[in-house]
Amino acid sequence: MLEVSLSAFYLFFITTLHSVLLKYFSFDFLKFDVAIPLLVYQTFFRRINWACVFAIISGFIQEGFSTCPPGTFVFTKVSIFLLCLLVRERFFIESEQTFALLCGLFYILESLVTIGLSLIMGGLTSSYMNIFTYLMPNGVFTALFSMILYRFFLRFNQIPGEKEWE
Amino acid sequence: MRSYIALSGALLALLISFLVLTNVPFFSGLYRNLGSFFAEISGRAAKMVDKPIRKMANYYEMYVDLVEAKREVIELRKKVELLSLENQRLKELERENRKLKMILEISESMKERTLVANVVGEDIKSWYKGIIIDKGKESGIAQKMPVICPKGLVGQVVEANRGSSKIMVINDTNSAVDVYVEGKEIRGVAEGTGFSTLKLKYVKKNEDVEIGDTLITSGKDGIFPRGIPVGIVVNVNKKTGGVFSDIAVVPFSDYRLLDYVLVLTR
Repeated sequence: MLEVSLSAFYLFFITTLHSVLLKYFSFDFLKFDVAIPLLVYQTFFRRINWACVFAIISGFIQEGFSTCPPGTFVFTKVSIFLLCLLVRERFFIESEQTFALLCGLFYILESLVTIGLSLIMGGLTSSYMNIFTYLMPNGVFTALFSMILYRFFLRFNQIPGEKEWE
Repeated sequence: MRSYIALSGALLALLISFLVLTNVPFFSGLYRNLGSFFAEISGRAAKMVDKPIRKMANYYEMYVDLVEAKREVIELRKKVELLSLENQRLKELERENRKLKMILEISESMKERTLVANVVGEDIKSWYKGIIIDKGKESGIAQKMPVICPKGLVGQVVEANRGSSKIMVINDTNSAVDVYVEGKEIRGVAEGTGFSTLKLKYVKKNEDVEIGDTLITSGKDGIFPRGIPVGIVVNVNKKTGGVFSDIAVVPFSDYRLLDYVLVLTR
């Protein structure tokens, strides 16, 4: 509970800073996802019930800083949580590289979920080129950010030697 | 057992968010209240964080000016050091003054009631093009109000919270503005592409649109009043298939460079 609250607070703080700084250094490739590394960390190394709660909260927090249609980020973040659950049983994170790779891949999957959602809704976004253009650069930056975060978790001994199996 | 609880919770959240996306009234209403709570906090937090960063940016600008001034002073063998520093400070004030004067002039020329707002944040995703301003319902801002800057149209309010609002800029893929080609009375729709240019749609190939033509709002979409400059035509392609020309437009306003905007509160 406390850990999820702290993660949510941390996400809120980073997202606020991210949004404000983007006003001064406005580059679209710098708009990486701050929530995905935290969500992957919560799902892989912490209790999955709280990870689910975190997925929903992170969706709401990100929607607070975006002009997206309501419900978009809660949908995508919960989808990423479900995909994480699937991967969790078959994938072992042993280094910051694997963590970064996974976060980058999840960013790409999130973009694809958004495109899928757009296709279903018909008119959510009329141009998929916009999402495709920034898919790779934003995925790479998400992976780089997740490496920093992994080191941060490691420094504060938040990553256990073995995965916590339910 | 625990994973079943998480799984069912996640599936329920997925279903509810999907129903919200499809605009089912009951869920949309509930979600709007919760969403606006988060958006309200986000807006206020952005406003708080923006203050010191804005100050730092101003100091940085002053620092850059100072370095330049220092070079000048060395060139003049440090004879007019104090004078040039004073000059720099005045320049800074003049720049600020000019910016505010332009806003004031445009504000006075508009028939609608206008409200000046600070830009405090930008959309965190590259998929959507939007900005966050520091004025909301408390100041009389509501959804669908047009937002402009001294150069031209910026966008419209898509969400108004108590102390902050979200603006969808005209570059967003969900944005469409009814426009006229100035002086030609040719009508079309300027749609956002998600990039720095707009697309002028529904202009027939036999209509005389040229590179360099300017677009103004037509006032017929019920959101934007007539006569606000939108952008300039930079490319006209009539060789594509179909009835309509493929026209690219560069908007006059660049949302990335905005410090202040004007909201037309009617």
